[in-house]
Amino acid sequence: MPFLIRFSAVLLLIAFTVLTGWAWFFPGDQARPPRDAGEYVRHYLHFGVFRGLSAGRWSVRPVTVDARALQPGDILLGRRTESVHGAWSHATIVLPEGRILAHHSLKGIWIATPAEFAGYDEVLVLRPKATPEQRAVVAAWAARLDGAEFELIAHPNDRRRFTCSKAARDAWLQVGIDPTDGRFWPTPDALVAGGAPVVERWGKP
Amino acid sequence: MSDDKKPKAPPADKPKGKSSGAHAGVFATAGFLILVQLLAGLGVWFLSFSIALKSLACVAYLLWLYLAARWPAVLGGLDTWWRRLAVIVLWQLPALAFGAWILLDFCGGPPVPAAGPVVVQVWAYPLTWLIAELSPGLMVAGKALSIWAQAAAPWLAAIGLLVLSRKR
Repeated sequence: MPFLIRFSAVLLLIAFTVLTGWAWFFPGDQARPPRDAGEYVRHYLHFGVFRGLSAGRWSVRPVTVDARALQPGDILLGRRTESVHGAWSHATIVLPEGRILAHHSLKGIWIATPAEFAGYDEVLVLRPKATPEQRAVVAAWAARLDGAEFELIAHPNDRRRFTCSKAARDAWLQVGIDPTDGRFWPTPDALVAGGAPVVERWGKP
Repeated sequence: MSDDKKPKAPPADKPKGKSSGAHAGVFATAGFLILVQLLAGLGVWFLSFSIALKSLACVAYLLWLYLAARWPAVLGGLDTWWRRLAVIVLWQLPALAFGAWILLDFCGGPPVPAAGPVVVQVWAYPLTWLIAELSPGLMVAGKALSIWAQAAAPWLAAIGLLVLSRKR
């Protein structure tokens, strides 16, 4: 048994060294969306751990979201520079009565006004093709996430914990529509790549 | 680690305050426990599609923690409390450090980086997901109760393991 324990410790050391090297020598660009599951993990470790990036730099000319342009079920995406998440740094979904879901790693998920979707250089509004009834179902389901845990490491198939993009994706999955391009991690970039029509774009292109 | 090179003495002659020569030592034991914990976390995470399987894995991990605390080859074989404490601290170091930082932040201290809760959740995933599950949507002083509990859990677990692994 002591041999097994010593062997495990050496194994851990080797695995840690390999993982660190794999993440450190990442050739990708911070603003280029990572494509597959492994690349996203590598991107996240490289820019999040070794470059110290997080949710992105607060915009010096933040875009204001025009709540009148939004419909229930719309997906809002925000872009900031130096985001660890890829080209797009945050996503949320529009609820009934023009409210949105807000997310914070220390507070969880709660219902807020569109004004809380702030501090971005650019904001995109996606409107997946659906009937008004479907949009109502999506928005009502998303509103039930008030109080849910916001967990950045939520498994894509976990029905009880959510990232920002996963909350939007799972809400649309309630009516059988996947707004992402089907990749493993439902990130903001995956929502953009999903091909839903862009109905509004505020801020610099 | 160097105990292997020493001539093996009969058990009655072993000096007090040192673990037996058959024990792997503080660093190897901590490494072993970290490896088991990270693999268990990965396993529990992959079972996220089923809350029943996830719960079962969590119970199995709690059982493992008990065994690790009592087992002579792991924590139970270390003779002094400070060596057991050293293993536990090394084992849970990232969760202890960031857990303390989160609690300090909540009490008005320096702000924790956005990655802080993620580090705690990743390191102690076999248990942190359950803590979140048991406190859905509850807020204390404007912060999620689950984050309070997840930040405190590594400290409580460390104390619990230290007590559980003491010699009887």
